[in-house]
Amino acid sequence: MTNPGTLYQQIILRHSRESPHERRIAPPRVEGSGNNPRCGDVVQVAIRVEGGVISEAGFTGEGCALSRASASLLCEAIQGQSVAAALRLAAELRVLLSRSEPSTQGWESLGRLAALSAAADFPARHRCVTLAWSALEEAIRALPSGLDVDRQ
Amino acid sequence: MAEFTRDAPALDDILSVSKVRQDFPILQRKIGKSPLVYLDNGASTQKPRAVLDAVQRFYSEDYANIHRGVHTLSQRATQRYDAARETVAGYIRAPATEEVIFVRGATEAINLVASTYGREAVGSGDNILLTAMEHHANIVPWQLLAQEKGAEIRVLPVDDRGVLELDALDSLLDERTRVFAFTHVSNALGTVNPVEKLIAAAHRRGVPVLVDAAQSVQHLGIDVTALDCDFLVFSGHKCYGPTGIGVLYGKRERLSEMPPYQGGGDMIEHVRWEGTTFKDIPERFEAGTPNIAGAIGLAAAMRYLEELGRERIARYEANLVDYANETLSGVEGFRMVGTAPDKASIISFLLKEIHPHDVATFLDAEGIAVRTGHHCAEPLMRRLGITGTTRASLSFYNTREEIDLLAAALGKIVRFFG
Repeated sequence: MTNPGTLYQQIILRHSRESPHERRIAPPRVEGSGNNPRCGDVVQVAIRVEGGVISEAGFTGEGCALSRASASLLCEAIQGQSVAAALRLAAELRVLLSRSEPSTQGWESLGRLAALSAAADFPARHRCVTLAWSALEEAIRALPSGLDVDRQ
Repeated sequence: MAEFTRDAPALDDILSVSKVRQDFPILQRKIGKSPLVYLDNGASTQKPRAVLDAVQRFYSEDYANIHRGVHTLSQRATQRYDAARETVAGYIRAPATEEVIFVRGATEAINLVASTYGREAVGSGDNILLTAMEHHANIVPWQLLAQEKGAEIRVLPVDDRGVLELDALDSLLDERTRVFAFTHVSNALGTVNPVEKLIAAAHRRGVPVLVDAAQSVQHLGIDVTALDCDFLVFSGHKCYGPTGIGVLYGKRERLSEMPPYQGGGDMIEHVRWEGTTFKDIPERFEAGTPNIAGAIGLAAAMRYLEELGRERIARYEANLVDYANETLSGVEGFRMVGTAPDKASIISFLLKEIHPHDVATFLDAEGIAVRTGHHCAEPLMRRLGITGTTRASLSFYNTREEIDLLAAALGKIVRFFG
């Protein structure tokens, strides 16, 4: 059993406690929510997209330290990114988490999101990490079609 | 519940726990480097060797399909299955063996009653009374029925301690109430409900009662004759038996009037294209090949519990819960959720502002198994204004030392999160 101390690094604890990204975004915005029926946790992610680029992102909701930190890191990572890049990031994160033999390899390119890599060792907690990412994907699906967005 | 004091008689005087633990092979294993501290008994209990052996022996020596064969093994298997029903009937003090129907678990038992008795008895404008502390299994089947029939779901409220507000009972039960279904012991909080009072109140109005005993049969023992309930349900795997087997007890006069649940083999008398006639209870409700080995395993579990003695089990567990309450209350930031005066072996709690999932991950790293979340009782959590708790649920094979390990681990978690 991996020591959970590796899972709860300072960066995770900091983001889960006081996140600058835990806030409501003023319209225009699109929103999505992720929920975990196992624990009742819910995370909403809202983004504003301008010219195919995510200009603002914020999250609200109730969750454990991991899901909150993941939501906060997500907001930090996608601000200024294209919608397509944000979707790629979400897909990449899922792949890295679900590798049969967890390692830190592949996470380097994700910047501070690499703090979530230790969660790969805790399969029961994968959903906590991906909660906000599901919410992001839902928000992107809710974008009005025809908007100047590179949907890929 | 027994009063706990530091100089209460040693637990070993009630029950020799070190000997009991030898009966459960899984309790000898380690999780990582730590010995397993299994405190998730409310979700499912571990199995004594008596159960494992009974299932193994049945498959090795007597196995065949039941009720249909003339050959030796089929007859032996049939005898064993019938004997299992007798053992279970005896354990819950059912007046007649055929009042015990084998099902997959408490969930299926409730669905069976809702879709047979319920479908006939409940009509538009009728109501079904539940309580605010039900498990989803005792909510959703009734909701589905109410939607289908245009009936109303009524809810007996709980107070902040997690105690049913009995004063509301008289106004909620009326001439249109078709069933009152409630849990004996709350799976999320451990509250022991005044089941006799609830049944008497319902019967005064002529309302049939279904008791969800999934969290009580393994702790308190059950006497359906004394309770006089119309239906009672429980799951085998929560009372030391195998998974996939459970029990619906129903009074003969209720069961006899109910239409079949599922159609198939074993439940019919004659099948003609013009129509089919059905067997009497219990077979009428057991279509298809049942979980024969499961029933035999469950019977072995009931015999094991009878041997330990239900009174001794209740006394040991009450004593252990009192010890746990006192010990855990000493942990900084520990807040009990559910403070009913009468509680069974469940301790639901919050630890400061730390999310239960985070607590459980740390506990797991020390080999301590607990459950977190809403415990399939979302409406109750909402009523209490929380999304979930961490739940330690105890068994007679747990020890004071294990409670101490839990308390120490919780203390470490509080210090880690600061």
